Amino acid sequence: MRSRVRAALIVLWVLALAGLALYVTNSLKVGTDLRSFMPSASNPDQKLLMQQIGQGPGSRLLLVAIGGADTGRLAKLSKGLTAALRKDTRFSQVVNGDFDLSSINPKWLPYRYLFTDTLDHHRLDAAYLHRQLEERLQDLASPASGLLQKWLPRDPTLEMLKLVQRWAPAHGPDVRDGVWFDKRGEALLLVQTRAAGFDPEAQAHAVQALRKAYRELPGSRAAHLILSGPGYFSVVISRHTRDQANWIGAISTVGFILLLLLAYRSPGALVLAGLPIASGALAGLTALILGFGEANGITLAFGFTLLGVAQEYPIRLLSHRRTGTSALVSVRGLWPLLLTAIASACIAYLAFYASGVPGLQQLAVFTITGLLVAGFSTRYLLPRVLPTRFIDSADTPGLARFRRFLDELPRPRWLPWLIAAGVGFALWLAPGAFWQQSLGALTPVSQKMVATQTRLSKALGAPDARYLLLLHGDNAQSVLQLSERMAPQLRRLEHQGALDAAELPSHYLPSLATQRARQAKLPDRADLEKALAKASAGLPFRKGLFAPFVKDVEAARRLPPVTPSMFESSPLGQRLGAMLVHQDHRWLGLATLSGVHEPGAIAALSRSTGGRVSLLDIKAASEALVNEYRVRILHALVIAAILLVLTVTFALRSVRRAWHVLAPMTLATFLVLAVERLAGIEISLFHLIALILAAGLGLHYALFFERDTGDPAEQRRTLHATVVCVLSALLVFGMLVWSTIPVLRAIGLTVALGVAFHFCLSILMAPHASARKDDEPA
Amino acid sequence: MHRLAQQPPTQTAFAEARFSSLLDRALVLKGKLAWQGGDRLERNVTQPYAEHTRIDGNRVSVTRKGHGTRHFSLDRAPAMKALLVGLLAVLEGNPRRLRGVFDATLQGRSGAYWTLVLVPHSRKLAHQLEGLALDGYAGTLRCIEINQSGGDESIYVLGHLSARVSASPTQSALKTLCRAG
Repeated sequence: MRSRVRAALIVLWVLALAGLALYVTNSLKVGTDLRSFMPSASNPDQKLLMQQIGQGPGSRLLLVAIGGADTGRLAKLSKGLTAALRKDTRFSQVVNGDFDLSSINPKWLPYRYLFTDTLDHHRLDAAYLHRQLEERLQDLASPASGLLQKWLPRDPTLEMLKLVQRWAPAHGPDVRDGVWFDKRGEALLLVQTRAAGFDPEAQAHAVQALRKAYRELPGSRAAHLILSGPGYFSVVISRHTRDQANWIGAISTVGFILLLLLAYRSPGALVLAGLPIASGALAGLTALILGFGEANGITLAFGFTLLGVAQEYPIRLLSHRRTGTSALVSVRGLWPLLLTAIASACIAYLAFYASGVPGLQQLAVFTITGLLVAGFSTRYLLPRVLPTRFIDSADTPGLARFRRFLDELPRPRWLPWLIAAGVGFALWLAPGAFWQQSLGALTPVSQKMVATQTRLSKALGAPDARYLLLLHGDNAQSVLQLSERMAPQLRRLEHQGALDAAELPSHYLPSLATQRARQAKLPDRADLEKALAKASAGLPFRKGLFAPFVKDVEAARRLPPVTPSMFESSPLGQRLGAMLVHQDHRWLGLATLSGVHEPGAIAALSRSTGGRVSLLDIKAASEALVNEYRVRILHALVIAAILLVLTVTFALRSVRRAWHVLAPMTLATFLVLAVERLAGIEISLFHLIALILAAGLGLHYALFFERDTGDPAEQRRTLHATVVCVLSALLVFGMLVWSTIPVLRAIGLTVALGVAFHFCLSILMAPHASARKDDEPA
Repeated sequence: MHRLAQQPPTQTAFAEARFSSLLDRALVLKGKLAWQGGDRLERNVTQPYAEHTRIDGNRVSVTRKGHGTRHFSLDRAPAMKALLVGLLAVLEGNPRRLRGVFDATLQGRSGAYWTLVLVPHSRKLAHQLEGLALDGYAGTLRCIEINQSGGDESIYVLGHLSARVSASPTQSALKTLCRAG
């Protein structure tokens, strides 16, 4: 009868989990935007920073190089790739130095006279046109006359060429065969994705499409493709992280199962012991779906890691079963301690919720729900379904001897104080900075990839990622006018060597006022024809050759000037869109700067405008953001620590006992910090998360070791449970130390060290261990 | 053909007359062509303005005063390519190299005058270049006529003969000069 109830309960439980799993797989949306793990912005500069990090032009740039073949072939591949990618909607801009004028919509062509600055300095009169025509004659006789032939009748003053040069990177690469090449002889391309840079999934699609387009080009096998840029980094990182987490996870899972089989010698119990964690994980996912509508991929990865604490609950139950009593009786004996452990862990994770960072809030909801469900199902469900036959863990061979060995270890009272002093010294003397400052540490990249990125962005003259010049205005036109006024001043700074180049929004689109002024300077048809006739006297140009030119100038005189919204549909619309931002009732122009040598000179320029122009130091702003973020998390942790002390004191109803539990835990936590700092490791957010996980595990060890039952067999069971927990945690997290991904390594190392220290200190500092000599079973 | 061969480095004066559909009369440039051996050729324009072109293998660079230097590959300058191929075939005295790229027909005429007509094999090259003709007298190369696709023609008159090119020659006058003296 009992076994039938048991079987029914198992079936019901599994069915409930299956139902939940079905719901989760159907409704869980996994987000991949890394920014949900960054702090929310508290001032306009930070807001802009966050926006720029994810969506700014710099973050969506893929730098592409094609190498390994001769110039001619590489140029052909560069052109083929550009043509293919321009047809793909995943890319908003593809440039390779080849400005194929025939690809421009003809309706834009007459606008060239409103966009270049020719008319600011010259009139289209006979003298100017004569000089221009003489030069064109020389161009025509030059070996590179191919392109000119086609455009000469329409554009004898080469306005299109001026425009192309204006829109090309200021210190761009050399052009060979019409496309960009670097000094190494690799063809270069700049590709802007539509997807945000920190959206690894969308970036992965873009990178895949790019690679596929390349492979489909004839002759692509003879050369090779090199990719770089923030978006590509995020793809590589998330793929590596997933790969490594997978194989490391596979090995440690097998090890974990073997360990539990060895410890309990019951496959049935092993499977059943997995049910509480599975329940916790599924409940956590359900809570995320209900509370947030989606879960971030990183939340899930960290969440499952943090949920690892819950594996202790069934292990404690399995180890503490006594011959002659039911599992239900055993669990009742354990429950006060388990409940204290669960409550404390939940309180620690509550600190993440208080941090105000969306990703961490998700993490808190997931782990707290998961821990509560795993804990309560261990208390109320698991004992009712466990097989009645089991092996008392107190009888495990060798355990008694190990217990005796531990008991006989010397426990000098000064040892903890010595360790504490050592920790203090180590933290004080450790080399380097204590905190990891850069936001970049969130997306760790290999040295080789950084070198490629630096090389390509230098060759392409890509803007400096550190500085942005902000132009403030009430509307788009006032920003553009400000940008035009700034242009000569910035050029002066370029000549002085304060910076290499600046790219202003007005580079792409002049203000309406400037366009109208240029329009007013265009001669009417009769005047132009007269000037042209005078200019070409004595030159061999065919009569009537320049009729298309006259027609375009005539058209340009009547065009409505281009507004930013009209410009949006042009090939460079995206580019301008990224430089002209409408934010909270104000307009911002973002000028990118490259090679800033004297930030002070630019700051002085900013002061002279009365703050209408300001320099945003992205590095400083992001460091400030990280600092603020850390302070917020640390505050939350302090509050969590106070709550933890209160909870443990209340649960044990004794300040002295609480001290015996919390002291080893605290000391071990600081010992981990000290060891990592001595090794020169800078502490990041990931280390903090891992420290909290380790502290949660350490709390279990200390709680259970502190419990004085006076029963040697029960003490052996405690030791058995703790050893199983410690070994499994060492196995799972120790494996992560082999990872080459800094984030995984940080978590693995911190938790593995933490578990070891917590175990040793909670044994050495357990209050009654030294008081007892005789541990033999009665 | 090997009678025409020379040892590098060697140089010769030239006058180039360019006939373009955009122009109603020829554009004439004068200067020196210099061969350094191999695929290295320089075209140094001195009249009516200064421009320096250097070909090295497949790479071309053009420098004009006040305009900086432009780089591109020889494939983008079909007329330059034809000039190089024609000149090298003669200077190296190696007709086999010519036959790899062109169908060659030798037209002998009165006295020791001859014309070697070259038409490209490959359709790709023919797309840029209709053909070229080398004109000579006995052991001397007199002219290279380059016919680009689209009707434009360049005629290089070489050596002391180049001094006889007028400021605005006609195509037929130049051909007479090249082919019959």
